[in-house]
Amino acid sequence: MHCSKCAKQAVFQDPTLCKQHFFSYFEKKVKDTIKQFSLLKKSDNVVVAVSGGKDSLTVLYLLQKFGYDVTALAIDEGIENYRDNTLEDMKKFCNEHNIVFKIVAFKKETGKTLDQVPIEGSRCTYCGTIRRTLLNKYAKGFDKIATGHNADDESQAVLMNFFKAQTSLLHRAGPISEKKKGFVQKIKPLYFCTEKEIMAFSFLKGIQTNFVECPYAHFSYRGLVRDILNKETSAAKRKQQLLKSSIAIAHHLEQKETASFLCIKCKSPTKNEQVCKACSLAEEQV
Amino acid sequence: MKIIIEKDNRTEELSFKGTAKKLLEQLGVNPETVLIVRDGQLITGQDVVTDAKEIKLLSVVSGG
Repeated sequence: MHCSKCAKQAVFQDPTLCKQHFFSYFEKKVKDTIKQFSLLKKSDNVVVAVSGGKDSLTVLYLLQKFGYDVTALAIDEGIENYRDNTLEDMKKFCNEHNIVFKIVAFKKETGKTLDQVPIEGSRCTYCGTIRRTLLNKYAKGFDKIATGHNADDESQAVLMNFFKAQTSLLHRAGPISEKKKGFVQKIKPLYFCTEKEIMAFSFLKGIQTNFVECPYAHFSYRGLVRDILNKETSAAKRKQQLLKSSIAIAHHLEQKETASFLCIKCKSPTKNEQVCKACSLAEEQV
Repeated sequence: MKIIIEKDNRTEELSFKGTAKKLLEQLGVNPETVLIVRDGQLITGQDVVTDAKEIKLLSVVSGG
Protein backbone atom coordinates (compact mmCIF):
# COMPACT_ATOMS: atom_id res chain seq x y z
CA MET A 1 0.00 0.00 0.00
CA HIS A 2 1.33 3.46 -0.91
CA CYS A 3 1.64 6.56 1.24
CA SER A 4 -1.22 9.02 0.73
CA LYS A 5 1.32 11.84 0.27
CA CYS A 6 4.00 10.19 -1.91
CA ALA A 7 4.76 6.97 -3.82
CA LYS A 8 6.63 5.22 -1.02
CA GLN A 9 5.47 2.11 0.82
CA ALA A 10 3.13 2.96 3.71
CA VAL A 11 4.13 1.90 7.20
CA PHE A 12 0.93 3.05 8.87
CA GLN A 13 -2.75 2.95 8.04
CA ASP A 14 -5.36 5.55 9.05
CA PRO A 15 -3.70 7.86 8.13
CA THR A 16 -1.88 5.94 5.40
CA LEU A 17 1.69 7.25 5.47
CA CYS A 18 5.27 6.26 4.66
CA LYS A 19 7.97 6.41 7.32
CA GLN A 20 9.01 10.04 6.76
CA HIS A 21 5.48 11.38 6.45
CA PHE A 22 4.42 9.39 9.51
CA PHE A 23 7.25 10.97 11.55
CA SER A 24 6.13 14.45 10.43
CA TYR A 25 2.48 13.67 11.19
CA PHE A 26 3.23 12.25 14.64
CA GLU A 27 5.64 14.96 15.78
CA LYS A 28 3.26 17.67 14.55
CA LYS A 29 0.43 16.07 16.52
CA VAL A 30 2.48 16.23 19.73
CA LYS A 31 3.73 19.78 19.02
CA ASP A 32 0.17 20.93 18.29
CA THR A 33 -1.04 19.49 21.62
CA ILE A 34 1.77 21.27 23.48
CA LYS A 35 0.92 24.54 21.75
CA GLN A 36 -2.89 24.36 21.78
CA PHE A 37 -3.11 23.53 25.48
CA SER A 38 -0.04 25.60 26.54
CA LEU A 39 1.60 22.55 28.09
CA LEU A 40 5.11 23.97 28.19
CA LYS A 41 7.19 27.12 28.01
CA LYS A 42 10.63 26.87 26.43
CA SER A 43 12.23 27.73 29.79
CA ASP A 44 10.38 24.96 31.68
CA ASN A 45 12.37 22.38 33.60
CA VAL A 46 10.50 19.10 32.99
CA VAL A 47 10.61 15.82 34.86
CA VAL A 48 9.34 12.93 32.73
CA ALA A 49 7.76 10.05 34.66
CA VAL A 50 9.16 6.97 32.93
CA SER A 51 7.98 3.38 33.15
CA GLY A 52 10.29 1.95 30.51
CA GLY A 53 7.46 1.49 28.03
CA LYS A 54 7.09 2.99 24.59
CA ASP A 55 4.88 5.86 25.77
CA SER A 56 7.06 7.46 28.41
CA LEU A 57 10.28 6.92 26.44
CA THR A 58 8.65 8.54 23.40
CA VAL A 59 7.72 11.57 25.53
CA LEU A 60 11.28 11.73 26.85
CA TYR A 61 12.72 11.42 23.34
CA LEU A 62 10.42 14.04 21.80
CA LEU A 63 10.64 16.65 24.56
CA GLN A 64 14.43 16.44 24.39
CA LYS A 65 14.27 16.66 20.60
CA PHE A 66 12.00 19.72 20.83
CA GLY A 67 14.67 21.41 22.98
CA TYR A 68 13.21 21.13 26.50
CA ASP A 69 15.32 20.56 29.61
CA VAL A 70 14.29 17.01 30.68
CA THR A 71 15.07 14.68 33.58
CA ALA A 72 13.75 11.10 33.78
CA LEU A 73 12.20 9.82 37.00
CA ALA A 74 11.23 6.17 37.49
CA ILE A 75 9.21 4.74 40.36
CA ASP A 76 10.38 1.27 41.31
CA GLU A 77 7.32 -0.45 42.80
CA GLY A 78 9.27 -3.63 43.39
CA ILE A 79 7.58 -6.07 41.02
CA GLU A 80 9.86 -9.03 40.50
CA ASN A 81 10.82 -10.03 36.94
CA TYR A 82 9.11 -6.88 35.62
CA ARG A 83 10.31 -3.57 36.99
CA ASP A 84 13.92 -4.69 37.46
CA ASN A 85 14.16 -5.44 33.72
CA THR A 86 12.53 -2.19 32.62
CA LEU A 87 14.79 -0.13 34.91
CA GLU A 88 17.79 -1.47 32.99
CA ASP A 89 16.15 -0.47 29.67
CA MET A 90 15.49 3.04 30.99
CA LYS A 91 19.04 3.40 32.30
CA LYS A 92 20.40 2.40 28.89
CA PHE A 93 18.09 4.79 27.03
CA CYS A 94 18.99 7.73 29.30
CA ASN A 95 22.72 6.99 29.01
CA GLU A 96 22.49 6.91 25.21
CA HIS A 97 20.54 10.19 25.12
CA ASN A 98 22.52 11.92 27.86
CA ILE A 99 19.48 12.39 30.12
CA VAL A 100 19.66 12.50 33.94
CA PHE A 101 17.89 9.42 35.35
CA LYS A 102 16.52 9.11 38.91
CA ILE A 103 14.87 6.14 40.64
CA VAL A 104 12.55 6.27 43.68
CA ALA A 105 11.66 2.92 45.29
CA PHE A 106 8.47 1.87 47.14
CA LYS A 107 10.63 -0.26 49.43
CA LYS A 108 12.68 2.71 50.61
CA GLU A 109 9.68 5.04 50.91
CA THR A 110 7.03 2.73 52.42
CA GLY A 111 9.10 -0.16 53.82
CA LYS A 112 7.55 -2.70 51.42
CA THR A 113 7.73 -3.55 47.75
CA LEU A 114 4.38 -3.89 45.91
CA ASP A 115 4.89 -7.67 45.83
CA GLN A 116 5.16 -7.69 49.64
CA VAL A 117 1.90 -5.79 50.21
CA PRO A 118 -0.80 -8.27 51.29
CA ILE A 119 -3.74 -7.12 49.16
CA GLU A 120 -6.39 -9.40 47.74
CA GLY A 121 -7.53 -8.64 44.18
CA SER A 122 -6.38 -5.47 42.46
CA ARG A 123 -3.21 -3.74 43.61
CA CYS A 124 -3.68 -0.97 41.07
CA THR A 125 -5.41 1.50 43.44
CA TYR A 126 -2.71 1.11 46.09
CA CYS A 127 0.10 1.27 43.53
CA GLY A 128 -1.39 4.29 41.70
CA THR A 129 -1.89 6.28 44.90
CA ILE A 130 1.64 5.69 46.19
CA ARG A 131 3.15 6.34 42.75
CA ARG A 132 1.32 9.66 42.31
CA THR A 133 2.40 10.82 45.78
CA LEU A 134 6.05 9.89 45.25
CA LEU A 135 6.06 11.45 41.82
CA ASN A 136 4.81 14.75 43.17
CA LYS A 137 7.23 14.60 46.09
CA TYR A 138 10.29 14.04 43.92
CA ALA A 139 9.15 16.48 41.22
CA LYS A 140 9.48 19.40 43.63
CA GLY A 141 11.69 22.01 42.02
CA PHE A 142 10.56 21.15 38.48
CA ASP A 143 8.04 23.23 36.53
CA LYS A 144 6.07 20.32 35.05
CA ILE A 145 5.70 16.54 35.28
CA ALA A 146 5.27 14.96 31.82
CA THR A 147 3.70 11.53 31.58
CA GLY A 148 3.23 9.10 28.70
CA HIS A 149 -0.58 8.91 28.96
CA ASN A 150 -2.02 8.38 25.50
CA ALA A 151 -5.40 8.53 23.75
CA ASP A 152 -6.14 4.93 24.72
CA ASP A 153 -5.34 5.47 28.43
CA GLU A 154 -7.35 8.65 28.52
CA SER A 155 -10.41 7.45 26.60
CA GLN A 156 -10.47 4.37 28.85
CA ALA A 157 -10.37 6.68 31.89
CA VAL A 158 -13.26 8.75 30.50
CA LEU A 159 -15.42 5.65 30.05
CA MET A 160 -14.47 4.25 33.46
CA ASN A 161 -15.38 7.55 35.12
CA PHE A 162 -18.69 7.65 33.26
CA PHE A 163 -19.51 4.07 34.24
CA LYS A 164 -18.75 4.87 37.88
CA ALA A 165 -20.21 8.42 37.77
CA GLN A 166 -16.95 9.84 39.10
CA THR A 167 -17.63 13.46 38.22
CA SER A 168 -14.69 14.77 40.22
CA LEU A 169 -12.37 12.69 38.01
CA LEU A 170 -14.20 13.64 34.80
CA HIS A 171 -13.45 17.20 35.79
CA ARG A 172 -9.73 16.45 35.27
CA ALA A 173 -10.08 15.68 31.54
CA GLY A 174 -7.50 17.26 29.25
CA PRO A 175 -3.74 17.13 28.64
CA ILE A 176 -2.80 19.50 31.50
CA SER A 177 -3.75 19.43 35.16
CA GLU A 178 -4.98 22.48 37.03
CA LYS A 179 -2.55 24.62 38.95
CA LYS A 180 -2.94 23.62 42.59
CA LYS A 181 -0.90 24.62 45.60
CA GLY A 182 1.51 21.86 46.60
CA PHE A 183 1.20 19.97 43.32
CA VAL A 184 3.55 20.13 40.36
CA GLN A 185 1.44 20.54 37.23
CA LYS A 186 1.13 17.39 35.10
CA ILE A 187 1.12 17.37 31.32
CA LYS A 188 0.30 14.65 28.80
CA PRO A 189 1.91 15.50 25.44
CA LEU A 190 0.71 12.21 23.86
CA TYR A 191 -2.92 12.84 24.90
CA PHE A 192 -4.30 12.58 21.34
CA CYS A 193 -1.86 9.89 20.09
CA THR A 194 -3.14 6.32 20.03
CA GLU A 195 -1.10 3.42 21.36
CA LYS A 196 -0.79 2.15 17.83
CA GLU A 197 0.70 5.42 16.59
CA ILE A 198 3.14 5.57 19.51
CA MET A 199 4.18 1.96 19.00
CA ALA A 200 4.79 2.61 15.29
CA PHE A 201 6.82 5.73 16.08
CA SER A 202 8.94 4.04 18.72
CA PHE A 203 9.48 0.96 16.52
CA LEU A 204 10.56 3.07 13.53
CA LYS A 205 12.82 5.24 15.72
CA GLY A 206 14.36 2.19 17.36
CA ILE A 207 13.10 3.20 20.84
CA GLN A 208 12.04 -0.35 21.50
CA THR A 209 12.33 -1.94 24.89
CA ASN A 210 11.63 -5.42 26.15
CA PHE A 211 8.63 -3.98 27.90
CA VAL A 212 5.92 -6.37 28.95
CA GLU A 213 2.53 -5.80 30.53
CA CYS A 214 2.48 -5.31 34.30
CA PRO A 215 1.72 -8.73 35.85
CA TYR A 216 -1.02 -7.14 37.98
CA ALA A 217 -2.73 -5.36 35.02
CA HIS A 218 -5.17 -8.18 34.22
CA PHE A 219 -6.90 -7.66 37.56
CA SER A 220 -7.89 -4.15 36.65
CA TYR A 221 -11.23 -2.74 35.53
CA ARG A 222 -9.27 -0.79 32.94
CA GLY A 223 -8.47 -3.99 31.05
CA LEU A 224 -12.17 -4.63 30.58
CA VAL A 225 -12.85 -1.09 29.32
CA ARG A 226 -9.84 -1.31 26.98
CA ASP A 227 -11.34 -4.39 25.35
CA ILE A 228 -14.72 -2.67 24.93
CA LEU A 229 -13.12 0.32 23.17
CA ASN A 230 -10.93 -1.79 20.91
CA LYS A 231 -13.90 -3.86 19.74
CA GLU A 232 -15.36 -0.72 18.21
CA THR A 233 -15.11 -0.76 14.36
CA SER A 234 -13.73 2.78 14.07
CA ALA A 235 -11.88 2.57 17.38
CA ALA A 236 -9.30 5.32 16.71
CA LYS A 237 -11.95 7.88 15.75
CA ARG A 238 -14.20 6.97 18.67
CA LYS A 239 -11.33 7.45 21.11
CA GLN A 240 -10.64 10.95 19.75
CA GLN A 241 -14.35 11.78 19.99
CA LEU A 242 -14.49 10.58 23.59
CA LEU A 243 -11.50 12.75 24.51
CA LYS A 244 -12.80 15.88 22.83
CA SER A 245 -16.26 15.42 24.36
CA SER A 246 -14.82 14.86 27.83
CA ILE A 247 -12.77 18.09 27.60
CA ALA A 248 -15.91 19.96 26.54
CA ILE A 249 -17.94 18.45 29.40
CA ALA A 250 -15.21 18.99 32.02
CA HIS A 251 -15.64 22.77 31.85
CA HIS A 252 -19.25 22.37 32.98
CA LEU A 253 -18.50 20.14 35.94
CA GLU A 254 -18.00 21.59 39.35
CA GLN A 255 -14.89 20.51 41.19
CA LYS A 256 -16.04 19.39 44.59
CA GLU A 257 -12.89 18.39 46.40
CA THR A 258 -9.69 20.33 46.81
CA ALA A 259 -6.55 19.49 48.73
CA SER A 260 -6.50 22.14 51.41
CA PHE A 261 -4.55 20.40 54.17
CA LEU A 262 -1.01 19.09 54.56
CA CYS A 263 -0.52 15.44 55.55
CA ILE A 264 0.91 15.30 59.08
CA LYS A 265 3.23 12.44 58.04
CA CYS A 266 4.65 13.28 54.61
CA LYS A 267 3.59 16.96 54.29
CA SER A 268 1.98 16.29 50.91
CA PRO A 269 -1.17 18.28 50.10
CA THR A 270 -4.33 16.34 50.95
CA LYS A 271 -8.08 16.76 51.25
CA ASN A 272 -7.98 14.90 54.58
CA GLU A 273 -7.27 16.82 57.77
CA GLN A 274 -4.77 14.32 59.19
CA VAL A 275 -3.11 11.75 56.92
CA CYS A 276 -3.08 11.66 53.11
CA LYS A 277 -4.45 8.66 51.19
CA ALA A 278 -0.97 7.36 50.33
CA CYS A 279 0.21 7.37 53.99
CA SER A 280 -3.09 5.88 55.09
CA LEU A 281 -2.79 3.03 52.56
CA ALA A 282 0.87 2.42 53.49
CA GLU A 283 -0.10 2.32 57.20
CA GLU A 284 -2.81 -0.28 56.57
CA GLN A 285 -0.19 -2.63 55.12
CA VAL A 286 2.20 -2.48 58.11
CA MET B 1 5.61 -18.71 6.99
CA LYS B 2 6.56 -18.14 10.61
CA ILE B 3 4.06 -16.13 12.66
CA ILE B 4 5.21 -14.58 15.93
CA ILE B 5 2.46 -13.27 18.21
CA GLU B 6 4.35 -11.19 20.73
CA LYS B 7 1.60 -10.73 23.32
CA ASP B 8 0.93 -14.44 23.74
CA ASN B 9 4.62 -15.32 23.35
CA ARG B 10 3.43 -17.73 20.64
CA THR B 11 5.03 -18.82 17.37
CA GLU B 12 3.19 -20.67 14.60
CA GLU B 13 4.18 -22.09 11.22
CA LEU B 14 1.49 -21.83 8.57
CA SER B 15 0.85 -21.51 4.88
CA PHE B 16 -1.15 -18.40 4.00
CA LYS B 17 -2.04 -16.40 0.88
CA GLY B 18 -3.59 -12.93 1.05
CA THR B 19 -3.43 -9.65 2.91
CA ALA B 20 -2.23 -9.05 6.45
CA LYS B 21 -5.78 -8.07 7.39
CA LYS B 22 -7.07 -11.47 6.31
CA LEU B 23 -4.27 -13.16 8.22
CA LEU B 24 -5.26 -11.34 11.42
CA GLU B 25 -8.87 -12.42 10.88
CA GLN B 26 -7.74 -16.03 10.50
CA LEU B 27 -5.64 -15.80 13.66
CA GLY B 28 -8.44 -14.10 15.60
CA VAL B 29 -6.29 -11.06 16.39
CA ASN B 30 -7.92 -7.62 16.78
CA PRO B 31 -6.12 -5.31 14.27
CA GLU B 32 -6.54 -2.42 16.73
CA THR B 33 -4.16 -4.08 19.18
CA VAL B 34 -1.17 -4.95 16.95
CA LEU B 35 1.33 -3.64 14.43
CA ILE B 36 2.31 -5.95 11.60
CA VAL B 37 5.98 -6.48 10.79
CA ARG B 38 6.74 -8.37 7.56
CA ASP B 39 10.35 -9.60 7.42
CA GLY B 40 11.44 -6.73 9.67
CA GLN B 41 9.44 -3.99 7.92
CA LEU B 42 6.30 -2.34 9.23
CA ILE B 43 3.37 -2.83 6.83
CA THR B 44 -0.36 -2.03 6.70
CA GLY B 45 -3.27 -4.45 6.84
CA GLN B 46 -3.87 -3.96 3.10
CA ASP B 47 -0.43 -5.32 2.15
CA VAL B 48 -0.09 -8.85 0.81
CA VAL B 49 1.93 -11.20 2.99
CA THR B 50 1.85 -14.28 0.73
CA ASP B 51 5.63 -14.40 0.18
CA ALA B 52 6.69 -13.37 3.68
CA LYS B 53 9.15 -15.54 5.57
CA GLU B 54 8.22 -14.09 8.92
CA ILE B 55 5.27 -12.07 10.22
CA LYS B 56 5.60 -10.55 13.66
CA LEU B 57 2.58 -9.08 15.45
CA LEU B 58 3.74 -6.43 17.90
CA SER B 59 1.37 -5.75 20.79
CA VAL B 60 0.59 -2.04 21.10
CA VAL B 61 -0.99 -2.28 24.55
CA SER B 62 0.62 -0.22 27.30
CA GLY B 63 2.10 -1.99 30.24
CA GLY B 64 0.83 0.34 32.96
